[in-house]
Amino acid sequence: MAHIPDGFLSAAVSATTLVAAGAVTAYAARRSQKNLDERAAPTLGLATAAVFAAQAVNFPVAAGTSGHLLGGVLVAVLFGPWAGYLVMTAVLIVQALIFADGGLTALGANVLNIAGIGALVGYGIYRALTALAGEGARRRGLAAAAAAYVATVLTGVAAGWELGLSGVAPIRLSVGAMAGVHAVMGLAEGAITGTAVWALTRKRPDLLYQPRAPATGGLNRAVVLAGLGSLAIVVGLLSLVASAAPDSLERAAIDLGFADAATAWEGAPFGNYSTWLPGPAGTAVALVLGIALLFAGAAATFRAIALARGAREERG
Amino acid sequence: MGFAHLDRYADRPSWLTRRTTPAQRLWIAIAAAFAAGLMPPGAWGALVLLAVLLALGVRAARVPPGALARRVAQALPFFLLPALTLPFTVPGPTALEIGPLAFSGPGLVRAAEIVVRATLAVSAVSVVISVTRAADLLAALDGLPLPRLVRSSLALGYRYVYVLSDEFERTTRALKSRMGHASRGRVWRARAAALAHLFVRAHARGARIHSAMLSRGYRDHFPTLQPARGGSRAWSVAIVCLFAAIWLGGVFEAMA
Amino acid sequence: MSGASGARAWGIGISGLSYSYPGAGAPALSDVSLSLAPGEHVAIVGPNGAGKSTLLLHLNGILEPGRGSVTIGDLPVNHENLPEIRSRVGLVFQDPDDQLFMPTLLEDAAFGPLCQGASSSEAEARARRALESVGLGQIDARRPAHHLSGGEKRRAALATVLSMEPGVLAFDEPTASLDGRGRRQIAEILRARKQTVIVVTHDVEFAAAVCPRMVLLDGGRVVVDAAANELLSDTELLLEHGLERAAWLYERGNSV
Repeated sequence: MAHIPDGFLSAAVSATTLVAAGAVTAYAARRSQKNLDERAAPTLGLATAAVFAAQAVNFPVAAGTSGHLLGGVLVAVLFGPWAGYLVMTAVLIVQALIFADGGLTALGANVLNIAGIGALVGYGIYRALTALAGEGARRRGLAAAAAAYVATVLTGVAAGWELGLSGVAPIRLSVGAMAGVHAVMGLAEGAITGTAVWALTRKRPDLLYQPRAPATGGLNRAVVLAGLGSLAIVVGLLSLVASAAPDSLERAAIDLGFADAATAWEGAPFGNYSTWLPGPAGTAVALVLGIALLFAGAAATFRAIALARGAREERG
Repeated sequence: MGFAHLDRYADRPSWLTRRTTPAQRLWIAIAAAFAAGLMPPGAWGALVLLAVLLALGVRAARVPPGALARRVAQALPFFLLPALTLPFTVPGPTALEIGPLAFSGPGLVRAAEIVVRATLAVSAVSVVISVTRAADLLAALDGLPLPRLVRSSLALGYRYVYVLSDEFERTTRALKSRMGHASRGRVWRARAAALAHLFVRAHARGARIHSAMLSRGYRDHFPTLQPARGGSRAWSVAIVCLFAAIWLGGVFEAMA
Repeated sequence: MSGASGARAWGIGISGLSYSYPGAGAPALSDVSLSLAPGEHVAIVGPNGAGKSTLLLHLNGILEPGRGSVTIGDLPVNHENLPEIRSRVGLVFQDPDDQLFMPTLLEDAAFGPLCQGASSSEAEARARRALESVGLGQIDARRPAHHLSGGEKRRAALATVLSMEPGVLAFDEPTASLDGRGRRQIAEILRARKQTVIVVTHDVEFAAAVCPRMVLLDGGRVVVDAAANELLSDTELLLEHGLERAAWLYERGNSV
């Protein structure tokens, strides 16, 4: 369910997500090559094979349906976020070409939703949680489980949002439905990922990805970066929703009793792009800006975490 | 999911395989999937045209229609289930009532369109995949704008999924034979341990393969042989253009 | 054996070689000195953990010596010479699945030549010659190694280094998990090699069958360097170092 098939996305959404996914993939390839050097090809190749082998096993979800592991958080914890993203991208390409699980026209969207949110955002959540809670096997396992759960739900939200943007169903309905389905699927993903990370930390902690020692910079910069990062994420999300369906936020606001506040959203940075840029072009611009903001926000938050750790280690 | 269906019809000579290289065929499949998958709503004429073209393609590739139907049926749940929710979620006048269920008219139309588009796209890709060897398909991916690391991951992933699956199966079998009537929680933990073990094995093998690659002069890039030549460039370009034209026609049809 | 026709044999000089794995207590190799004439066939025998495989990994610079030096022909093994050293020394690893990492056999055999800078067509020609020279000329080289038997995989692994036309061939446990026929085929191929050959194994009978000279390694040190027949008849020495001949199993079985 997590994979969007062919036939659901509009041309504008398909093209924009493909371009965005292509850009992230090129960047991830450069980062992985730099991190892993000439070990990159065999390491990522075998990780890809392992994900295929793991996905061949179905586990029961609920009501007689079964699903297979997505694995984004698991590979990111093992091989690092960028390598994990590339592994998931390779897996999604094979699924689209050979198993018709996810469409070719939706490949960009699926890569962003499953590889991007799974490996990059999921890993960010995992790192933030382990930074807070500590690094014992049990804590790492729980952090990975929580990260996998949240990332799966976010995958659903993103898919629902892309479907709504494509005009398949009203955006509130599609986001709600997809988030609901993934809130159930995420339980299994979280449990499997969590237990596997717990087992790995106990047996072979040396195999887990060790982020490089962060550059020194001081706590203040970390706080500023974290603030800016979260702001970019929030503004990105809001303006995306606002631009995609200019009146849906307003309606939500009325429903929630914030009718007055709703008028304020008119001023959201990209709130009205789709009204003054007609049709697909407006959607595309809104998408690109929203995605750029989201990734910039995520990058800033990563950096902030690294800086904060560096500052802590310097003191300790 | 298994990889057993790969390569089944790969060695049958056919009109399509004689005139196109695997790389050219891959582009044709992509063009067809995009034309079908991205057809705007309301372009029924263009969809019918695509279906006719695809039927010709099945004949030209000599793929048994039954085998193709089975492959499409396997993929059906992936798009049928989400499409089935549309008659209830898309607002519009009720067109059909069965008991307590009210199907919206626009929802039914949209669901039908999506199912047709998805079926056509999946069939187009399946036809090309089933007449192309997996190894040739991997080589054909060199023609796509993919980073080198993704291509090498696909090649190694294809080669080692068999090796790792065999090892994984042995581990889970050994675990099962030891578990007996263990509680659900313990079974779950054993399964996760097997999964962790799979990645430990993959890591060790990756290191050994790295040595084997280095000792054959590998530095930082994964060299590949020149893919098969031949085929007819003109035919492939013409077919890709035909799909593009049908899609454009569909866009105009939808606007009209 | 056309694959070997263009190759020349190189002598090997190992002097005072010591190596410890990072984090390990006892050194894996200590003060090993050994010299091989061009074209000589030498077996290195010893129990598990004697340092045999570690020694092999020094021959083409996968591991860098802690102390001492290795030369292949006139070239010392060091960072600058690595590309040339790796085309002089062909290493055949214990598990052929680690060495056959490409999607097809042909690409596996062409990997070395391509890394050496050969053109695609030349690499393919050399790959086909090498496959033919190990008796795999009849097999469909465009299929993955997954479909091969154990013995075929091992010969294919040999072909992947023969295509590089090395002057030294080094084998790690070439008979591991092979049946009788597989062992015989490998023995025949090894005997016919004109290159310098090093075989690392704990299968002393196989070693004596393919190499006139045998070196016993234990605890990272050279214990004996002698003619194979001489060493093979020294029951006490072999037993002391954890080695045995198959025939002894029967004798002991009768005496117990």
